[in-house]
Amino acid sequence: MTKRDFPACSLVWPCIYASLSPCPALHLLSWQAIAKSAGGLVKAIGGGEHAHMLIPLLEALAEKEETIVRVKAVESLVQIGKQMPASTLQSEMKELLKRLAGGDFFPSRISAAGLFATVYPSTPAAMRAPLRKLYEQLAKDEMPMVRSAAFVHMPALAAVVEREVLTSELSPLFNELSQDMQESVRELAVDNMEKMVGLLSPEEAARIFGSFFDNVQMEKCSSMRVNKAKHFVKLVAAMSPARPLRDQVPAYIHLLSADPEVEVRNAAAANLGLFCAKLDAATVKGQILPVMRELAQPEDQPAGQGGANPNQQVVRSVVPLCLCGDEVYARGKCCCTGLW
Amino acid sequence: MREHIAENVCSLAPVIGREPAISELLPLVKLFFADEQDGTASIEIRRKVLRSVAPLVETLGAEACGQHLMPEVCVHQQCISLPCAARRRGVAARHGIGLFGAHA
Repeated sequence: MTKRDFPACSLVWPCIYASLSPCPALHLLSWQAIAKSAGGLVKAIGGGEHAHMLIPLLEALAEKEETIVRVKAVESLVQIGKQMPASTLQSEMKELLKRLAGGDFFPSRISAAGLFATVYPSTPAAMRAPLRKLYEQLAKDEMPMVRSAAFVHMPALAAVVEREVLTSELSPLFNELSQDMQESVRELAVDNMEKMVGLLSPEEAARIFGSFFDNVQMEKCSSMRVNKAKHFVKLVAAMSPARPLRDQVPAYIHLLSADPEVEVRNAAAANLGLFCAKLDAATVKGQILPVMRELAQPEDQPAGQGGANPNQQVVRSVVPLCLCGDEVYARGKCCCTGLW
Repeated sequence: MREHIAENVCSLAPVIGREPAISELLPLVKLFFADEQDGTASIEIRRKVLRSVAPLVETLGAEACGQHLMPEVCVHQQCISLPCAARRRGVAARHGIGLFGAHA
């Protein structure tokens, strides 16, 4: 459709809406395709001033239970929001956000969490506090999936809020969600820290994230420790000099050599050169090299231990089976020979 | 794990300097070169060391490199495939092809 074919919308729309009804022939893939492509229709329907016409369609999709459909619908809403004039954003998108956030069914609240960063910048200063309150409600929602959605979109919101709001309102929410009893919620914390730490000064970053960063070391959720090891250099550099890099060496060595998960140790080892480049020679020689020497030694562990490399593990697991197979084969041959 | 260590060992040379690199890092590099724990893994480990050897060569300089590092490389040259040879050419361009010719 081009702008010239604009009247065609009136013919196409009923067909698209019809596809949203729970029809067995037209479900997940169709909805997903519609949700994905709706964001690219702004030009075709006459530009940003008419973009609000897409909102009812995307609202219906954003309320669907199917995650992939919702995600695409929210992406499209964000895409059309970027092309909308501020007045329409306030009158249409903000109202949509309120409707979704107040929805009884949790999928709509999940979708609402993705729209705050789109609506917030065009909201007049006096009306921003209620919007933040709405976000806080979602971050404290009883459904873990809603809290998780609020946490996923926290870095995008952090990038558009005022700095004092980030340090005084979003950081307590970050700390609360990073200690959430649901692993699916708090496992997002290290990635979020990595995205948000660049928005702060080293002192602010150290004050807000410092104790959380230290506590990840003892976190049960291994994906958090993997993420800490993966982003270690960026995170400690962002908090330096408020937290000197040299003080982080024991934490790094723990991830590198003492963590029970091989994935964590590998992620830490991959950053070895990068981390050492930021340290002084004495620290590297005194603290890193002895550990490196130990880790460089050929592994001589029995199969099944985390430290053994995959090839050794495969060889050690397969060889007995092969030998056993030979034995069985040889026995079978004897039996067969006997029978014949 | 050892592959990551092998990949990063040479990048420590500029941080710790020439003499510690000779006394501390070269033994590790030699250990990785001489590694024979199992075929596939050891070749990959050697490749990783050689792909990232440039900072060590830069820190050691041509003379020390020819004296300490190249004999080890040449002992294991049959295991070193073309990508590594190509990497070595970059180092050769900076330090003179004689560095490699002397031990080839």
